[in-house]
Amino acid sequence: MAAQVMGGPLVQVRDLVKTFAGRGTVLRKSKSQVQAVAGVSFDVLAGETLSIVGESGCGKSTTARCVTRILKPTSGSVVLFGTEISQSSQETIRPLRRQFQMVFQDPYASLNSTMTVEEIISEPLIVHGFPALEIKERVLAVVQQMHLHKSDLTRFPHQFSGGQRQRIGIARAVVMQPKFVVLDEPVSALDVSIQADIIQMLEGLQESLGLAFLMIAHDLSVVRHVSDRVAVMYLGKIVEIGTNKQIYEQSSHPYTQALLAAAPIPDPRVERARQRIILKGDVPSPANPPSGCRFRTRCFKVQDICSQVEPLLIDPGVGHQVACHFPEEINLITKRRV
Amino acid sequence: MNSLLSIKDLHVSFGLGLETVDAVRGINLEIARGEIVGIVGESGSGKSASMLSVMRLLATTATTRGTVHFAGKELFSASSKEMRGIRGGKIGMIFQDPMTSLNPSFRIGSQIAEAIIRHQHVSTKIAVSKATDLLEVVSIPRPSESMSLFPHEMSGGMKQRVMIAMAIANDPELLIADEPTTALDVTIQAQILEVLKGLRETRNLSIVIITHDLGVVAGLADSVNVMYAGEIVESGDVEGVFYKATHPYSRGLLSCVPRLDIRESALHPIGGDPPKLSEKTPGCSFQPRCKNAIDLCETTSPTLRSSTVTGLKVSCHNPMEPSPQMSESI
Ligand SMILES: Nc1ncnc2c1ncn2[C@@H]1O[C@H](COP(=O)(O)OP(=O)(O)OP(=O)(O)O)[C@@H](O)[C@H]1O
Ligand SMILES: Nc1ncnc2c1ncn2[C@@H]1O[C@H](COP(=O)(O)OP(=O)(O)OP(=O)(O)O)[C@@H](O)[C@H]1O
Ligand code: SF4
Ligand SMILES: [Mg+2]
Ligand SMILES: [Mg+2]
Repeated sequence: MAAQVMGGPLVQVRDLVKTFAGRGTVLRKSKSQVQAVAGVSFDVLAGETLSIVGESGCGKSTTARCVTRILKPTSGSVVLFGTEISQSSQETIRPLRRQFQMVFQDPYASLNSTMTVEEIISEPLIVHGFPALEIKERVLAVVQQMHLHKSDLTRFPHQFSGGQRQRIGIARAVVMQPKFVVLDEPVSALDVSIQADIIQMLEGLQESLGLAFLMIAHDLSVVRHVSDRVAVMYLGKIVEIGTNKQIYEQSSHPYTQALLAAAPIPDPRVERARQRIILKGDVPSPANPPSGCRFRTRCFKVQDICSQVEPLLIDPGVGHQVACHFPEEINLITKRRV
Repeated sequence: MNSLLSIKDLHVSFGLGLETVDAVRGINLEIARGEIVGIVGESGSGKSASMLSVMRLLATTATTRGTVHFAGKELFSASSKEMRGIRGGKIGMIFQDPMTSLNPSFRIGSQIAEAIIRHQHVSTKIAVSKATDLLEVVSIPRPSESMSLFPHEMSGGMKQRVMIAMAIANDPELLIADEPTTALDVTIQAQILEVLKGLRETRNLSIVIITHDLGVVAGLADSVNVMYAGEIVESGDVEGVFYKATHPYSRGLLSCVPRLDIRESALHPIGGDPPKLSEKTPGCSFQPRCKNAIDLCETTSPTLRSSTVTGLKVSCHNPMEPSPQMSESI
């Protein structure tokens, strides 16, 4: 999955902010604001896979939803294929929608249960006014590509397994032959044996259609396998971004390092010989993030300056970037037994 | 016989309308004192059902067959009263769904204290002080203040720790942990796994850990059982299973997961779907997905036997050769 750098990035996100009105708690009735995404910048290049990783609630899905304009960003810019869409009306975005799609985590909830598979997959083509004959051809082609049967077209979502449903969701997303697909935890709900299946199909699609993926995931092993570049988020911010190799073998942010050290490796000798980093405590509430560096309350390298000055990512391009006052490269992944 | 838990020929079936779902199909399992035993396998393979049946906590639609001896006592013939004493007493359990064991309307401190009083018949004061100590054991910050929190005021990781505290409140000999970290982030998972390792070390606790995460098992378990469609298809010590497995399903499982420490490797999906447990087939239940299947596999179901080649127990008519690549370091 080599990234081709031609004619600038496909997607350019700058200083993206999304604030939600807080839900309030029983104890604290006053509704605080939750800054779910607190100034995020990245590019997605044509044909590449950029993955966003990070713990639950750090703002991954919200970022994805802002980029695809399911949500309207509070501020910041989202440029898709050269068009600024962050504040555009859905009317204005509609013609662009042919070129980008989103696949959701839950293959059970994301498909309309009253529609047949054929209706589900062909719906976007119908909406965009494709001729009937072409619709039939395209649906058949994509169904084959996703290893579904022609006879599956007349069945309903509940008649399929989780993996099959996710394939239907992906078929629906790629039937328009988009250039850019956002995948929000596409394999998280699936068994490992089924995950491998879906990952392979995604890789195949990317190769044959030249797709770019923005993938949200929390399984760092899956991300290593599929990504060209990786962004690590913590409490609404990107703390480190770089190529696959830079993140996995040259990580420099303490949080990235803690994530890597904590992700288990299915190999008893390797797993038991690894360097451990056990973080203190829990992620703070996004309604009340720590001053300075947002990671400082759990960081094993924290100094006074970390609570006073926020460490920033310097340039939002495609280089290796680290938001930390004390970055230090460590390779935490013990080389494989060989 | 020095097993703490000994399960013999356990069967569990659920009546579902006209159908019968044979969820567990004759498993045998021995757990020694201080041993950590992992159970892995895909969704629906019967992991939870087998352990819930040990605790006699299955739905009334379930029928169970076989024997379960815990510390010498047969549990399926024990009285309900005896079972109430064992559950949450000598056997602690962490359930797959946290909210089944925490009551949302009571403070966590009183829930733990109550569990202690129920089994140990101590005064409230002593129970509260024990409960506070337990919160400390599972690394909950500011234990005495945290006692007065309600479950909804805690994060997932904190709730999971409270569940562990409840499960070990009466100093059990066995802890059954059903996906204890699945819903948690990896950094929190790492904290919880440290707690479990510590408990084995300090209390010689036996642990059954059910998980779909092979990495968790690789780091924690002494021995591993691979389940498929209600049966244990391969079992043995952890290194044996990871490096010398010969059952085509275990091998499929091991080679379909991407690894953090290897980039280039291609994934090898198993392909196909697990069988419907309501349909009985005469042969091996993995046969429709198996690349190693021979004619016999379609007609006769294999039984679990010791392999002289690997030292593991395997249930397969035509096991694979141990992979030289996997067993390189041994
Ligand atoms: N519609 C909403 N209203 C209020 N708060 C929200 C809303 N959606 C998300 N949030 C909050 O914003 C934060 C980020 O949520 P988001 O769903 O983007 O996280 P995530 O990284 O995708 O997490 P997960 O891994 O659990 O899916 C969380 O604190 C969440 O509670
Ligand atoms: N109360 C029930 N009634 C009917 N069938 C049930 C019941 N509980 C479980 N089953 C069925 O029994 C089989 C085994 O279920 P079990 O919960 O033990 O699987 P598992 O291995 O724990 O899966 P998971 O990894 O998804 O937790 C499944 O086919 C399931 O649908
Ligand atoms: S800036 Fe300070 S607190 Fe933040 S990650 Fe770096 S060392 Fe840790
Ligand atoms: Mg999400
Ligand atoms: Mg289960």
